[in-house]
Amino acid sequence: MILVNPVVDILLISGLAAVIVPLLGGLVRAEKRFLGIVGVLAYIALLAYLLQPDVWGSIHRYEPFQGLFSSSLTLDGFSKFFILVFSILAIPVYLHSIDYMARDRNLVLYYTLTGIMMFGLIGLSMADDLFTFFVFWEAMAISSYVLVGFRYHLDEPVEAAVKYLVMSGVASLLMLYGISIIYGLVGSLRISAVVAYLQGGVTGQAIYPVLLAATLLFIGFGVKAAYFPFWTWLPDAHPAAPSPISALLSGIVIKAGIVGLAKFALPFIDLLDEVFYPILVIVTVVTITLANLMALMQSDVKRLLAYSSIANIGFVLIGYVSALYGAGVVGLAAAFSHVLSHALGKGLAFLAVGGILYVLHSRAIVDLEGFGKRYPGLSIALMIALLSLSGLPPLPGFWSKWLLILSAWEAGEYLIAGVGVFNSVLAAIYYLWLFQRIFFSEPRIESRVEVPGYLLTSLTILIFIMVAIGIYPELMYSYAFEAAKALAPLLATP
Amino acid sequence: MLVSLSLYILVIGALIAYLAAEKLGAKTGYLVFAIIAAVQGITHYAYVYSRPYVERISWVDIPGFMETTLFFKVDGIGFLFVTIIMTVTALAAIYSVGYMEHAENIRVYYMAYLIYVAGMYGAIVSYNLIQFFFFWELMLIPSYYMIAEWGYGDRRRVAFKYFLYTQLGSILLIIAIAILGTLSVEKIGVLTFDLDALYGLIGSIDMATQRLLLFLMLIGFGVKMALVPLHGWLPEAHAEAPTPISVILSGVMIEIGLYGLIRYTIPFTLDVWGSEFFTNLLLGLALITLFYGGLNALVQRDVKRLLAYSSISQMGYMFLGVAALNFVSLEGGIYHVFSHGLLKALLFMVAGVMIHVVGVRSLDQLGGLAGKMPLTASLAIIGAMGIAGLPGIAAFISEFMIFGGVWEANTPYRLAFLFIAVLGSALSAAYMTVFIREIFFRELPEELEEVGEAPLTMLIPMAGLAILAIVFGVYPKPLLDILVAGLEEFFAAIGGVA
Repeated sequence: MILVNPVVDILLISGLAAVIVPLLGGLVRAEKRFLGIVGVLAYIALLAYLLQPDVWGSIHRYEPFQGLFSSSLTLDGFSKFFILVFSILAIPVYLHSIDYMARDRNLVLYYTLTGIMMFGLIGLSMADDLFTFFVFWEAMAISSYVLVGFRYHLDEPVEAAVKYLVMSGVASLLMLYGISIIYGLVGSLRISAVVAYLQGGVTGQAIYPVLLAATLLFIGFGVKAAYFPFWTWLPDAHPAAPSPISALLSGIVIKAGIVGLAKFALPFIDLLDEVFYPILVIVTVVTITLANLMALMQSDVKRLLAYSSIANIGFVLIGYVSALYGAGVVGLAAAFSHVLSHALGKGLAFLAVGGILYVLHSRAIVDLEGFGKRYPGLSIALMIALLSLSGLPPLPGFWSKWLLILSAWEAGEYLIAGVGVFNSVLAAIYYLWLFQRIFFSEPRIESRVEVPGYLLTSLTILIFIMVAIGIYPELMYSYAFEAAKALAPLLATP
Repeated sequence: MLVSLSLYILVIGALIAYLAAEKLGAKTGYLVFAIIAAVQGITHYAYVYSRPYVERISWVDIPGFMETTLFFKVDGIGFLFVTIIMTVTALAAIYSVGYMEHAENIRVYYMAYLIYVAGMYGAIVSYNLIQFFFFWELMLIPSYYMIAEWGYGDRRRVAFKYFLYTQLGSILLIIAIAILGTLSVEKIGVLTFDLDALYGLIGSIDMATQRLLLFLMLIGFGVKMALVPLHGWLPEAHAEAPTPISVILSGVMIEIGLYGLIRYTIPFTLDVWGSEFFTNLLLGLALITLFYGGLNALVQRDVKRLLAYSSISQMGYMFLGVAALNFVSLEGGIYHVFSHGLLKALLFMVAGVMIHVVGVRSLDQLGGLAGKMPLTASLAIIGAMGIAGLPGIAAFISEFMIFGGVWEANTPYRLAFLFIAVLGSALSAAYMTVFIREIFFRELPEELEEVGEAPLTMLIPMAGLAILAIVFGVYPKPLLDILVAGLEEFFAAIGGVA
């Protein structure tokens, strides 16, 4: 069933999930927490809509404006993949919020902002030109600042939100500057026009503005994706946010930077590969290694997960590097597989930690000792997430990391392949140590709080999806490969 | 259909065991025995009626990118491995009924136990490199957990060490798999790991890559096999694990590393492995392992540690057979997996009786128990005679074939290797004699006056193992026929050597 145009319909469904909340909020007097159901239903509907054959089967375009602010959105393999990832994570996050946020005030604001953030994410993954992309990007970014500082009566979230706001705001401005340069060079912001301009050959003096624009984009996306050296906001902001929001931030919001990088920056990097090659390799290696080492040193479980998110962004970059320097589509497919597996794994990890916070009121790893004896369900969920993130079969993390290493090997990037393998084992060993503390130590904190139902359901959904993908990796690979194929024409060396 | 059915039975059986154990407690072991026996029955049926049994299911099928199937195959080699794994694990499940009767958290024990078995079974019947690795890693978590939860002594540290060693070995395997995957993209045009497709690469892999692959996989599998100097985890893990798990670890799990070498390393590194230099090197490595384990076993004063070092030594024999790389030696090596599995499982169960019934595990405090527990003593003597290589028991046949195979190895020093290897048998006889004498003969210490015979749940599995070891020592033909058929097929597939 297609109402107007698949692109518009998808935006409508996801926009409605945001807009309807304040209206309903006025009607519902008590139990405002159940507004979360709106989001759950909306994203189930969106998934169902997306997966119907006449929407999934072909490429759809929508061009609302012409002229100076010409705008275009495309629903191709690439955007379908990302919408899929975003929606799959949104459902358990909304479910989790129903229980987790029950004790907070301003729930109408919370659900509205979450809705807008999701709307921005879904829009930007379909954007086909930098202008549209930027509009959705800002919608997503601004709502996420507020969500990080949502518990404004506490110090930590406010401080983290301000830091995030400043860094991300500057990054957005730099990106905007880059976009304006590109407009000046190409005369259009359509990615097809930009690619045509770049592949037409840029010679002599003209290379410098292109280089400047590319650098600005690389920094702009880099702050959001949080790779080295632009990551400093993330370890503060992600732990400070409420846990469901942390799950969204770490699971998919940082992937917005990955979307932008893939669609808008890779063509530039492809052209300027001599300049960018050493930069990319250094950024990748340092991001993975340093973030992993930092993760091992944390005493706060949410900070640990935040650093692990940075390390995983580094893993996604492995795929991009290999794609640019030899592995082509396989590299991109590996990177996108990892986007999915990390979104699931990190989403589950933050939601499980949310559950732990709900019953324990402590984020310190020491307090988790012996926790597994009291709350085996929550602990096992956290361990499944961590083991998937460290790449142990039969979980999706294994399939994506393994493909990343293969693509790096295929591209001849032996250093990066080695760094990747070494780091995943390092992480596996560390997480195992954590496992021992959680399951085999004597409990330190007594807690008799029951784990609420919606919260457990949200974890179960994610575990189920992860095990399914772990046993049938085709579920992940086929979508990721479609996405990679859709993006391949943007690269000169497919 | 049949093999995937078996895997379903094991995994669903794990859940059933978890639920059933709330009522049945340790007695769930009988149920676990039935589940494993059913799987062995199905696999047996599958193999006997279609030698070899092949099953392919669509798995990852993305044209132009990755085409690999869930590929199960039970050929002669695989059948032998499956049989020994299922025999040992099934009997160890009955043994657990007596041994784990006072253990806490028994529900998780049997669940982990069956998942562990599923991992081993899946690794053997897989005919696809990445699928093999998938099951290979599936073995790790349950075995780790069982050591850490129900082990002895410093069990958390020991289990952690086990995990660490194995995981570091797995890194190298992952890189080797990535190399083979890259080769398949280059030569076949699509990413695939089905062994029938990968075997097509044989002959087109250059020597440098072969050397790299051999290096990576030898270490990767060698950690699991506890080849010296990669053996650091084994003596502790096997000694401190709960006894049924020691039985499985020593009896069958470490041998899966050997299986990996045969199935996934030899074919792709044929030229390097068969060269004179590497034959010398690998045979030397096997002898070092053999003697290191044997000499260490001789001086141990802990029953299980002695057996753990003996496993390292016996692994030296098996690896000797594989390293010599010819028909007879491989036949001997694989048959030794079978016979060693039976005998070492039996001996570990005897050690378990010492821990559970007698309550003492140091050889210094044991002695003179032959009069108190005559049945256990007789069974232990059968096991010890087997490991020592006496005729009439299965290990004699396999060791004999290994020696025959070494004589045919591609090296001018084969006489020296053979001589040293035969000398090693004397070492086995020596430490096994120590084991028997210190436990069952000498004077009976006063504290052990009250000791009685082991319970039936422990005696029956031990007797079963002993009988099988004698039957297949006297009449090995049925198994050897199956093995020969499997090896012929294997050598035909890799195009060579025999």
